Amino acid sequence: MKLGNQEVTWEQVRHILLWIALPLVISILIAAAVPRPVIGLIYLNDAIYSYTAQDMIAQINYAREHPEVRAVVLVMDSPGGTVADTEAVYLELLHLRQTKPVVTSVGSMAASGAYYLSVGSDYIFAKPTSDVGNVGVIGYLPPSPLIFEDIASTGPYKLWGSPRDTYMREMEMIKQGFYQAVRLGRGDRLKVGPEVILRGQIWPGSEALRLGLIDALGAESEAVAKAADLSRVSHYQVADLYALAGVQSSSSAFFYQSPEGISMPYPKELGLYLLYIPPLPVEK
Amino acid sequence: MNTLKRYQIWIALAVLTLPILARGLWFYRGIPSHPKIQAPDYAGASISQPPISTAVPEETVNPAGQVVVLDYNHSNLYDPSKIQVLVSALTARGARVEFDDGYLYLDTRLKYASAYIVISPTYAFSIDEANQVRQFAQRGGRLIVFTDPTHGIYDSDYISGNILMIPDVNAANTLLEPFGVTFSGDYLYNLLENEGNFRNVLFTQFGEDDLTRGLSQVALYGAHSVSAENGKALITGDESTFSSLTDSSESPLSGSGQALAAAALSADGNALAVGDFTFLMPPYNQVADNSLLLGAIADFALSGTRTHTLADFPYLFGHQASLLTVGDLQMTADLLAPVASLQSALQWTNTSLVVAPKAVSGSDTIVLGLLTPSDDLDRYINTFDLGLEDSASITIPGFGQIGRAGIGLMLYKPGGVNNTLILLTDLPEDLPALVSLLTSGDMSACVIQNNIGVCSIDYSGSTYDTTPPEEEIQITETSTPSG
Repeated sequence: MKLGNQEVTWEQVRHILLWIALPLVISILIAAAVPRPVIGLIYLNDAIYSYTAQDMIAQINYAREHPEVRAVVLVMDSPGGTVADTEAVYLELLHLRQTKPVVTSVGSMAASGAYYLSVGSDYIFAKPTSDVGNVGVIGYLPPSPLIFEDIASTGPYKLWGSPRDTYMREMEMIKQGFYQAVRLGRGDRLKVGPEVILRGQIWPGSEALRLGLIDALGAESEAVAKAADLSRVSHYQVADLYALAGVQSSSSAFFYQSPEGISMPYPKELGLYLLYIPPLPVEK
Repeated sequence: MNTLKRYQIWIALAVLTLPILARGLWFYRGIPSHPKIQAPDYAGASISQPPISTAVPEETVNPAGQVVVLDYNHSNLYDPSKIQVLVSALTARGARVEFDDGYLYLDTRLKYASAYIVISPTYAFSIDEANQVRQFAQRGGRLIVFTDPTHGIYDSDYISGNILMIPDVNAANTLLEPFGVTFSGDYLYNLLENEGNFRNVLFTQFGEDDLTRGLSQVALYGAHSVSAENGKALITGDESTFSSLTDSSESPLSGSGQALAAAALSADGNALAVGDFTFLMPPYNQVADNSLLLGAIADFALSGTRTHTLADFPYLFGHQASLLTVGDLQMTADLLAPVASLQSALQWTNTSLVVAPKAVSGSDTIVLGLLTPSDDLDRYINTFDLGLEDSASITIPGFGQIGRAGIGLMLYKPGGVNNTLILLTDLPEDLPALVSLLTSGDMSACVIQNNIGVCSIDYSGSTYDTTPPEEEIQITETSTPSG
């Protein structure tokens, strides 16, 4: 066999194939198996309650279990929600962060429980006028214990859950947990103390940045870029984890609905909430 | 040959790893660092417990039987059953508690009260009522006003529909204005150290006073701030206690540098303002030194040195009073009827009136007499320094000379257990009218200065002239321009 002016023997061809082409093919095949990194998006566009929390946890678990998902961006637009569901998602986020960075991008609001989740991430972006903060707990106190002629129970609080005073103190305990989460999440970046944070104030994004409640003002794409940067990946793809995790869409009404079918901004059930309840709109 | 083989292996390895490396480096630029993740110490969190209640010393029982009037006539936002602890503290000290529901005029109740307690009023006090309370406090009565930011009237803004709360301080401030004490429409809070909630503030700083003696920690469950011009701040917040109006630890009323106070005493020491009354109710009265504070407030209510004046009639006497005549005055049939009415009026105030030939030791005395000098009259009136020598007029300190005709004198001499009321007229025929005037309680015909009342006897018996005018006004038609 002649290759140019040089005579190439079959033995030499065999050598080239054996030592170069074959490893190259094998290598290309192996390289093709190296996954393209994914920046997963988890959206929260509702209150945090049992259904939304389950959906989020399913997506967080997916991100944790799939190595190609290198980082997660939480895209928040939520007034918060129930205490237990918020804590459940928050703890899952912390679990995820042990292996993968999480970045939050606040849309119009990350208030109360939603901000609780935000501080569970590595970096927080918000828009200049996003509503951020509202650190605190809100609850409707149970009535003072009563007894009824036709309802029997085995203890004074069987019907009412707990004494009003205990309920109030429980709120304070939850608030302290919330503040701890803020302090641990924000660390030295937080520029104000508890006397400001615990007022429960809601701040626009630009002010939240000044106070150290968030890290930067920016768009969702910047949050994705930051997540990629923290996970040290490039040429990544961005994917909505809702579809990837195969979350089955299910929901129930969290907010109270008036008899006319108008959704009100407060929950339909009494309880303790990490929730921002805005003032009601003008009634004509 | 071996060297060739080694080269071949290196080339093969390079070829094998290069695409994998290239793709890896295309996507992955390094190993991300993972910060140490720490979760809040949920397990270490516990529901706070209220501070343990301090033992309360036994109350001192005051046998004088003082009366404390509790306002319930200004749309007050409290349930009488919920302030039983305060009521019990007062009754345990020998006082009788009356709720003023408007059945009697306020000035009538204040005539015999030792203290007037107002809790969370929402209906403003009238100028008359405010004056009556001011005069009551000037005479040694105690005024205690409680407000509470968790109480108020809910309303909605007409334009925005927003929920508004009209605080109870507005009505309370109308009453406290003469004392230089003002409640603010805020609430105090402490986010760092509190009694189970930010609005339940633990106070450890106290102004020196009998009201705060022995207190080391008091918990107030939602309190307005209060300021007293030239008065005394009794319970003040620390630097982490803020007012909801300013979110700062400085008083919104007193200006910069002044700590926020939840209770204050007026400059004269007779008006106490407390920005919370939840602490009076169970179970909050049992927290920290709240019981001690409650007891001190009850003591304060009953510790006034109440001085009575003529205007306080019929509440001038103890359980028994003797009526006697002096000088040439004789008890007549004309006089008996008004004296009987006087006896009835005094019975209503639990004072039994007996007619006696001379003063009874340990009993109050009502003296009837004439404006004529006499030795036995002089015993009673010498301290008033009256001039009775002139036949046409008398001289009264503070009044000057006044003609004798048609006037009656009421002189009140307080003396602890022996109070004396002296009624004098120029003529015996005028005395029944003067006694009747006193019994009616309507002193509008009398000029009262301190404990001397000069009354016009004619006034009460005067009648309007009903004779028609000689010429009645004739109404005539007025013609219109058109004719």
